[in-house]
Amino acid sequence: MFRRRKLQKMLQQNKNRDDLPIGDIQFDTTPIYDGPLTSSLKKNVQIIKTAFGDSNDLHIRELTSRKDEKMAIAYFEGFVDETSIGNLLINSLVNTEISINTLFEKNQLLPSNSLTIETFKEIYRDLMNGFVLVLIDGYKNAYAFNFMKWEKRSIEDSQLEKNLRGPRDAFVEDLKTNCSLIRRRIKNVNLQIDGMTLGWRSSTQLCMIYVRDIVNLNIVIEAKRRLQAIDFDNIPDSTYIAHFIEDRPLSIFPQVLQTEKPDKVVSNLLEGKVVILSDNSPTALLLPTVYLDFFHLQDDFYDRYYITTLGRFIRYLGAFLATLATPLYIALTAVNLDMLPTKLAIPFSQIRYIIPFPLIVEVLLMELTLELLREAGLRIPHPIGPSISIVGGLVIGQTAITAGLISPFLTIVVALSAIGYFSIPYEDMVATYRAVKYFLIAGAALFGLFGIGAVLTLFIIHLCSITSFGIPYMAPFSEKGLLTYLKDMVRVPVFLSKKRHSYYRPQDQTKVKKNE
Amino acid sequence: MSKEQINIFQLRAIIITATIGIGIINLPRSISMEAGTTSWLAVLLGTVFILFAALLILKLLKYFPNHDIYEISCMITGVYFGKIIALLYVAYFVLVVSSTSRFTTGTVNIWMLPLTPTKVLLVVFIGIVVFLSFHNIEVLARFSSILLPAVVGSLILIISSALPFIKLYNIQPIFYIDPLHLAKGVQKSFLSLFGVEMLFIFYKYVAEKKQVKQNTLLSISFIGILYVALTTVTIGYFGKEQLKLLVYPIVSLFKSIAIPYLIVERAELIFLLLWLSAAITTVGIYFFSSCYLLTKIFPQLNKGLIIAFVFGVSFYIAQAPSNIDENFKVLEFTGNVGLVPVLFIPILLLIVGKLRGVLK
Repeated sequence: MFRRRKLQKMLQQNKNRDDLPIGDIQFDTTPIYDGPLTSSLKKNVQIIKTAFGDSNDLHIRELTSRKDEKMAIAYFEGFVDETSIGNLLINSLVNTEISINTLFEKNQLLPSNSLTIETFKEIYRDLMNGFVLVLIDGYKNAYAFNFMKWEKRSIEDSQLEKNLRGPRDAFVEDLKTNCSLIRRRIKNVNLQIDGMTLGWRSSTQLCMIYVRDIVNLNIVIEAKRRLQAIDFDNIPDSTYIAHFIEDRPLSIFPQVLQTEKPDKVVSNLLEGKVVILSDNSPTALLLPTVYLDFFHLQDDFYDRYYITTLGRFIRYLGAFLATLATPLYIALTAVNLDMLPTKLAIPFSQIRYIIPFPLIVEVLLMELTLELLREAGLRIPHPIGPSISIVGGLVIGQTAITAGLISPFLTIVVALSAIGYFSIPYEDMVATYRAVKYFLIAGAALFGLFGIGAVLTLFIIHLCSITSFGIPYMAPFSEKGLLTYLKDMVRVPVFLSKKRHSYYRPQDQTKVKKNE
Repeated sequence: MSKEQINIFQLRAIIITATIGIGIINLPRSISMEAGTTSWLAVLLGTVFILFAALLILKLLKYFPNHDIYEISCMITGVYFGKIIALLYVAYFVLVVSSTSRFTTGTVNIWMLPLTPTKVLLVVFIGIVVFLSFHNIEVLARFSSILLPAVVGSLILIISSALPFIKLYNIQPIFYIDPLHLAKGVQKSFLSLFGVEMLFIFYKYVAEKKQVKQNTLLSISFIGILYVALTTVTIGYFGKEQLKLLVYPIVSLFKSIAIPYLIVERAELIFLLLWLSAAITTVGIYFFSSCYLLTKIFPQLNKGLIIAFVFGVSFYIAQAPSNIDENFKVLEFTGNVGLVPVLFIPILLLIVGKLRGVLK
């Protein structure tokens, strides 16, 4: 009896009597003091503690020096190197023979990179950025020391962008490391790195990088304007920024290229692009971007140009298959059947005779299965990864055909378009192409080849209307004659490509120093 | 952002794609009906005449480098007449749109989608153009320069694939000149080379004004040469007697050529798809221009409203011809009407402008 009552009490404990009503919000109205420091150490420490709500990870140590001067050091745990603080800072502060203020004024401290701080606003900012603060009793200013140290991933190969040749390093989540990766590659005074802070709650640090004497300054000004216009509380990744600053955020075509490879970033900087890096993100944003950029890889420039040119055309073929294989199949087998040669038309229609669904249903079933497999393959944990290929390949592919549910030709076509996806280098463009394909399927199902042409024309019009920071998205095709049209599609040997792409409108047109 | 601007290459693309349209399919037949084996000369002379027309237009535009036809005619003849002149242009543009799209969809109906009603195809075809017209001039310029290779490519495809099969006796006698018929042939080729009147809209937006003249003349001559080759090849392939019997000679040409290693049958469908890009650019440019002028004439009206109106009118007119023969008559009528905006109005404006002393 007693036990049962105890159990009931336990179960009742966490049970809310009522749901939380929507309008019933308690507002925290206590204002945070961010004015100048007071001269009393006790008061200052108290203000800092209240501001952070006496957070658990905020460490404030009160010390007394040999000369009986009272002081306090404050820092956030996990941000700073605590051994160095003890060895260098506390040691010299406590054991000093002269007064502490002269110590600071004469800059005799070992960690000499100190900043003088006068308001609480700066104190909060510096504490959260990993500085160690020293407050002294009787003085209206504090000092901040840089002891930043935190755990970060070491530089590794990129998971998303694999390359055969060329440097293997990829960006990590630390902004400073990423900037150094770029600075190490361009040892030129004109490489400029502008800092910025975004996200009014997260205070994420950004870097805007460009080469001052190559880039078109209008692009820099416009990019800065758009970055400053972002009003949002949290910037978890640089991809967020991309969504905010695109010219046409509602378009399905990506207008900012995202990459993780510093070598790609550097060669794009030298083409006259602007790079945006964000703290806590391994992705760099390259802008402006044109459509063709999504088919060009940095590896292209490491391999010999014949191979690369061939490879590029294979990629274009892949893109063609990814979007058009299924729509063309629909158009040729359902609408424009007379285009097929007789020897092909007969087996097609023979198999179609068995299949219980209309062609468009069959196609959509197959395409959706492909999308499902793709999505499942992304989320699946490594140890059970092989099972997806068994389920996908054997069960859905082979068995469905044997059962007479789908035609083997369609399976080939869908597989071809899936392979086509894998040959497109950038994941953003793959996602776009997947969406475009469904429009084309609709066009093909309605009007056959004419419908495909109509949908393609609509997409071309849309592509023509996109600009990326004032640079037309289709610029390689729409600004010069046929020769440049082709030249940008193939890879020109390095020793012949002495000019930068004119469509990025760079200040400095040539890559060579002496113009013959 | 900044002012709309197109570069010289895009202007060239606009002129070429506006000019090359249904002429690819239509021209050889209509000229050889009149001029027979001397068609090449007829096309050549037609090109020369259109070059003169272009010079005339450029001469007028030289006085007004930063204005379109509406502003020019308002300045020369006053707002009242200016509006009427601009409306004449709009009427001509709409006529071109409807007759061309009718011909195109008719062709698609016959060769590609025999079971789909022409009305549906018309809605789809003009619908694409409506989508294009909602954008600005730069988008149109980019669109036509992207499709330029396809447009010119379809012409070159015809010439190159029919060239090996030419029978010389079909194009002889080369110099059989019958003045009356030749004149009629010249007239027809002159009419089918219209497109240079687009300068009245787009000249204003070109960045490099100094190169416009040279580039316009070059691109017209380029089209002229291609058209000469086209007619010669077609006549050489079919012979002028057979050509008279064929409604779509070029499509039939592809139907009769067996292209080795081409797996698909009916190669003419592939050609038709290429040619549709030529048709859509022509219709697109004319449709855009008519909407553009209407928004200028009635600035108080909403752009969407104007586009819907132009769509309705051109759709209605496009339905008017009940068969292909009537459609040819409408096309011919359109060509004849085109003389007014391409030739007469520029001359009129030049004369009135000189008399009133506006041109300086």
